[in-house]
Amino acid sequence: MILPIATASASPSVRSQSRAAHRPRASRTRIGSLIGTLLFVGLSLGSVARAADPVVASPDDFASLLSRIQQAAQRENYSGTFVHQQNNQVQSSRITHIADRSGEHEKLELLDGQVREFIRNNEDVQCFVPDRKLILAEKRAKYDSFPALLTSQPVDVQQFYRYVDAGPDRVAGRPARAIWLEATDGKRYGYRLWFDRDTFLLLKAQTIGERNAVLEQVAFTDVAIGQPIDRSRIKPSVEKTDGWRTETGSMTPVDLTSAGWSVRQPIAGFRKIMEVRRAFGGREDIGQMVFSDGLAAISVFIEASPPQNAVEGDAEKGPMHVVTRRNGKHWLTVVGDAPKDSVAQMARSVEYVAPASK
Amino acid sequence: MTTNLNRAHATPSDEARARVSALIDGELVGEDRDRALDALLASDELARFWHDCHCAGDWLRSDEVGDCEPRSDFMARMSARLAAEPAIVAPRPVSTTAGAFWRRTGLPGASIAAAIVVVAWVAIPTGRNDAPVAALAPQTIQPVVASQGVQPAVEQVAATTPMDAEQVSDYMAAHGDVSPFAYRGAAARPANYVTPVAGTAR
Repeated sequence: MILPIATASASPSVRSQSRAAHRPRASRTRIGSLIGTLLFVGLSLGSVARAADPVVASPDDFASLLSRIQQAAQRENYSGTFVHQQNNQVQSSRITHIADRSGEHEKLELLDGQVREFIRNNEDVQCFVPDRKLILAEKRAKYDSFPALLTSQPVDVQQFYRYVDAGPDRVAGRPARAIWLEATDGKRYGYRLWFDRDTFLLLKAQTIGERNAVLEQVAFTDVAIGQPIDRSRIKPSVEKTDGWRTETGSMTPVDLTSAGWSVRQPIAGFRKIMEVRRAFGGREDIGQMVFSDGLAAISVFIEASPPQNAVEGDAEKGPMHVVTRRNGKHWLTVVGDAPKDSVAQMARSVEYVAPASK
Repeated sequence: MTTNLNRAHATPSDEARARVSALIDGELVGEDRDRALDALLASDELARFWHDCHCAGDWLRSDEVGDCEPRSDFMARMSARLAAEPAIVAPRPVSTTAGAFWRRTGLPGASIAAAIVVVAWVAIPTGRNDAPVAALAPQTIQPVVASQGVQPAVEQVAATTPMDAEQVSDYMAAHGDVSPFAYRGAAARPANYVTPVAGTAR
């Protein structure tokens, strides 16, 4: 189901013009002057745009822009509410982020459904689950929440994504700029990004599918950027955690290639960016190979044997697709921010060659 | 399903209360459960009894008790909303484990209404084990009937068959951790991403 989200629109004066064409003659002069006023105002606002207009031409320029957007999420103080929409599900969250000499400190609260809080201090993340008296502690090599934009490798804006400067727009009451990254093949999704004109903080992002359908959207509804934030605002809401259980997640680098794993035919443009060993869902020793084209990622999870009640099949959640299958006696779960066929192709391409015993 | 929620004015019998207790403890399955839920919806008294059971459980289990104020006009508002919604008919998956009530995706008519009732009251762990609570995604008034891949594959099939995203929610969350668009990480995590107690059957 496609969410009817309005896309970035052109200047409002254009719409007024088409309405004016149907009005009776007598009132046209008045409409005419109204349009003139709107055009004038629109142009004035446009000309106020900063000198640092990101006119992106080359992949390097685009990489610089993405880097700037990513840094804003790390270096700015900001607090606000954002909404994540996917199919018919809506999730609001409140984020508070402080950057100071000791690094980054962040609190993310889910505002709908179950109470859940993430407190991050640089790379240490704690997830508080009050209804189960549980703290999940994890170390993050990367950042965890919108508006962060993790780019682990350059985005190929010449071959796989076509860059379009969609001009100025307005998000959460702030002047913003919109950029569109149109997928050049059907193997990946497109993306639209809106970032704050002044600070480059990411304000809104959309995942675009076939026929420009908006598959997923995350956007601030209100945000304050650059103001001092008291440290007390990033403390956990739960004060007493006596008797709570703490579980530690884990993600450690591992060499799956030497262990015999490879992907014969990854999707064009997707390169392997990391290999880790994970523990989650009550299970351990889960290998994860991650491939990315800079904007999308596909993970191949490898386990020595299928989990209990596991079945081969495919599933989807919004734009995310999952394929599970056996590979010899191993069990694969392939998850991707990509169309179903791409995820299925990756799953079929995973190959295991037992390393020669030494 | 009948959306006709007539109020039962008679005091609920001991038998009815016992059924509600069994429902809370997750001991009812299938038709028994549906009948108990229908009875629960139809009677303000039983609904209050349900509420009292949960508040009592709260006191027993923790030092801090959440907001246990009953919503006096809740049933009136809920029945008005249900009357306005179209009846949803969905295939009924086979389910035998008690905890699976929370995770079923193809709920027959009566259970949909009950699912809405349950979400409005404070969601409380079943207490029996640490099975993930309420896979109902936040703010979905229409429960997950609308999502794709409803049929859970009961037997192993060689070709890829559609399956419930629920079964792979851990993997999706683990993938979201490293996805370039970080909104697939924390905020998009399904409610039951947190690892269940080791040894719990998935």
